[in-house]
Amino acid sequence: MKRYGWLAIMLALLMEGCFFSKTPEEMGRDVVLSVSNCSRLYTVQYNVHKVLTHQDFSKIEGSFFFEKISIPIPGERKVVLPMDATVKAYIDFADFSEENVSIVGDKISITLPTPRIEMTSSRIDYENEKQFLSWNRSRFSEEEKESLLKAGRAKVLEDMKGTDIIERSQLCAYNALLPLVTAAGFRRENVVIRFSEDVLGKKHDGVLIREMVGDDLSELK
Amino acid sequence: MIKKIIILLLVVGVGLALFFFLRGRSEKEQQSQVEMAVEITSVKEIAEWEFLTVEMEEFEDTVIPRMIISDDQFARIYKGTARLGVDMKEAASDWLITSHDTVWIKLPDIRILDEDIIDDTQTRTFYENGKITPAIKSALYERAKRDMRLRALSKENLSSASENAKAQFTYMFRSMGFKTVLFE
Repeated sequence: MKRYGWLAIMLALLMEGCFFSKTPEEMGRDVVLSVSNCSRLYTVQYNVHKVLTHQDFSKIEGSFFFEKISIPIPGERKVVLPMDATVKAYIDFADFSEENVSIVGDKISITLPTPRIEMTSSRIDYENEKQFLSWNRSRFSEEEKESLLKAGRAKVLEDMKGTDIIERSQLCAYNALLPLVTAAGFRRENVVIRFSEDVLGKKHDGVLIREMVGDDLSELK
Repeated sequence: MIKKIIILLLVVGVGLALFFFLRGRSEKEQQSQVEMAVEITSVKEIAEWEFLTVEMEEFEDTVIPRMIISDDQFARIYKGTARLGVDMKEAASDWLITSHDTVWIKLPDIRILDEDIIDDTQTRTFYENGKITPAIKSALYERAKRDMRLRALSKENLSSASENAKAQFTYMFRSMGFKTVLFE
């Protein structure tokens, strides 16, 4: 009887091995989700570091003679995940047209949309990941960590809005575009670059956010 | 004998009490986070024009043979974006020459603008069996990055980005009053 038991276990293990060894090879390995033309000027790059933390504890919820009750289970677990990310700010030239440029005599005014920010890459430092577990709690699964990382990504972008990234991006955009405009024959002091929110597609009637003139170099330092 | 019966009755009683008590029970996890601020490690002024965006997913897996029971297996799906364009910091000093209503432009070569293109916060674990070390995760990440970069730098993508770059610069300089825009 024991022999059959061992035989059954061996067979089960063999089948498991066969089944899983096929799975990855059968998968479509790589996918190009989209390829799209664009026109963006990236002007500033921030490298950031954030330590993502998460903790939870369990409780049992049930009913006792139709009364809802909740009992916390002693023990908690915590995870610490450090991450490094690159956040860039860019000016989107997708809708740039002649309407964005106004030339009056020897003066030129270019109106640009407000810079946007994007996380261009991120990397989790798994070498320094830490988990603190009570004896009765299980380790965080990869799936649980994924939801923490998604929340962390959103938080990093939210936190970046509180920095000077937009202002710095505007100054850097000015620095990047000035050589183009002066090469086109306009004197530095006659160049105005404006940043505005587009209102109903009328670029020059938008809400003015910032205006930079060629001879105002104090802001660039 | 009586003791055993009492213990048995107690066990049954506790069991029944628990049954009624935990009827329809559900285990819920309460979550909380200790917030830590974002640390800015460096800031760099750049001037990179992006003309083609390639969004990709990469499936990477590995098998670590074990002597007993089944092998360790790990499969992950990485998400990344390759931004193809030109870095104006690489442009020659005479990249832009104008004469009357004509402009000659010499753009730097099209390349992937970012060293790292994977957004690891969007990585999904497809399969996990056994002990997976950080070194294995790191190796899979590097492999996915290499494969994605190779795929993004296809002839078609480079050509498409180059054509779009010319179209965008032509449009921009025409907006500034130039009639002829030429590229080297």
